[in-house]
Amino acid sequence: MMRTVIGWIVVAIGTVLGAFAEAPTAMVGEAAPAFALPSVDGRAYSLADFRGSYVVLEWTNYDCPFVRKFYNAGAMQALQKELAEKGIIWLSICSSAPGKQGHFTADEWKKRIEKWQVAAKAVLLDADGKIGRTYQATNTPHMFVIDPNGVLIYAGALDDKPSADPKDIPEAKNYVRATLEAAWAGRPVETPSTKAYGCSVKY
Amino acid sequence: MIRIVLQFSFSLLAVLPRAVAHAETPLIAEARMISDRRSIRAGETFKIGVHVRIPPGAHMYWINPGDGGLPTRIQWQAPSEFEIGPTQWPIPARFVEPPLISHGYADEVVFWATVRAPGDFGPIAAVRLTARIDWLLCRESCVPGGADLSLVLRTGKSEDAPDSDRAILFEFERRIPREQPAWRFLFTDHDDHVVLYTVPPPEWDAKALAKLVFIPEMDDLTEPAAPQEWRKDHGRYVLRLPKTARRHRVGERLEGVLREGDGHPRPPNEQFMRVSATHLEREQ
Repeated sequence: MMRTVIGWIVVAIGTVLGAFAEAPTAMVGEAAPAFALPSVDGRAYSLADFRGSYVVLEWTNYDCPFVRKFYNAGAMQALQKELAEKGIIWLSICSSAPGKQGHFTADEWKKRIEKWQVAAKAVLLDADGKIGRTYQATNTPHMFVIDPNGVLIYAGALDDKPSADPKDIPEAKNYVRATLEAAWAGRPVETPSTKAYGCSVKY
Repeated sequence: MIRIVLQFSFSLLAVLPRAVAHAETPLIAEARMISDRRSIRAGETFKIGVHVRIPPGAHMYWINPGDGGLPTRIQWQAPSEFEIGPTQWPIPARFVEPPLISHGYADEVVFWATVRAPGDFGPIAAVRLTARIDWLLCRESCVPGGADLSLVLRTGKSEDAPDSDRAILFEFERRIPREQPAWRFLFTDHDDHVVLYTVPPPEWDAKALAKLVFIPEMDDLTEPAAPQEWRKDHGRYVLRLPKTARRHRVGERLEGVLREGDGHPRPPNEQFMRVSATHLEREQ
């Protein structure tokens, strides 16, 4: 009898743990999965720290030509500054695994960030790809916008011109800006999900 | 024959990956324009193609690139009296890089089209046909590139091109997926998934079917990396394909290819076919 009860308790605990162990996935319209990641300068950041603010997540790889398209043209940094002035938090996340493209030493990160004058709040490292997989980040750049209640309101491309040519930037519709403008004005987000384009994330 | 290979200079810095396999070969593809004729007769039908050599370990993309990547694009041009058919896309391979899957080509590929010459060339002794190709080439890193290509063919009598060009065109003509008369496909379109139904020829049992994967032509319709499992139901086989978050609708027909395995590296005698499924409700 006792053994059976213990057996059931073990099964019950296993079920509960199993339910928690199953990785949540990011879905537009639902709570953005929580994460805590180190930044390139050794600080710890958690998504929960920014509850109450809009948060932009940018999956990045500084050697990907589609990422370089926006940084070499200064467009990504300009958007980061513009949004920071409105109190919006921008977190860049790199899921490149060790040995893969875009995975750098702390010194290399520092140099690259200075050279491009990156204006993100922080550049976070997800070298085991766990958070990238949770968010189903497939490309760099791959953008996510989270509202002050922690709900994911946009996932997809930065803009609507899938190319690596910086000449396409001025004509393109920027989905991140459009999402934030709509949310700010209390309007529904017109395009809450798009297919991201760029390099595959180097998991 | 003129060959110009263009690479965007800003991306060349990204060409050389650190400490990775194949790092010794630069990430540059070579393209040339070929035909099965060196000289054409008025009114005849012939083929033109772009032959691309892809460096080891790299790939470029099909019309539906899958997760990541960009579709390869080709524009053909010929004097106005020539009729150029649609670009023929050889069967793509699946490149599996968990958790992502993309669709495209490794090693070499020929994209080609059929051309009909006008009934009368008049006094013209030669014609120039051109192709513009744009690609994204990816290995550990990605480099966009492309080429402006052209080909001059004499007019008068029909003469074959060199055997090597004819052979490579023939090889990739065989690699175009075709509809198989013994197979019939139907589909249904739901909010978050698509279902493909088929009644295969009798020699195709569940075990044989398990080797086949379906790749839709429409970009961003279904999740490229979702597992594919054929289920038997009322005498037919059923494949449920989850849609991407965009929940695009299928049009009149669900078009795509059914291929054996990933096809990379390319096995001998691999099987593939074109799928053009009609809606189950419009089944006659």
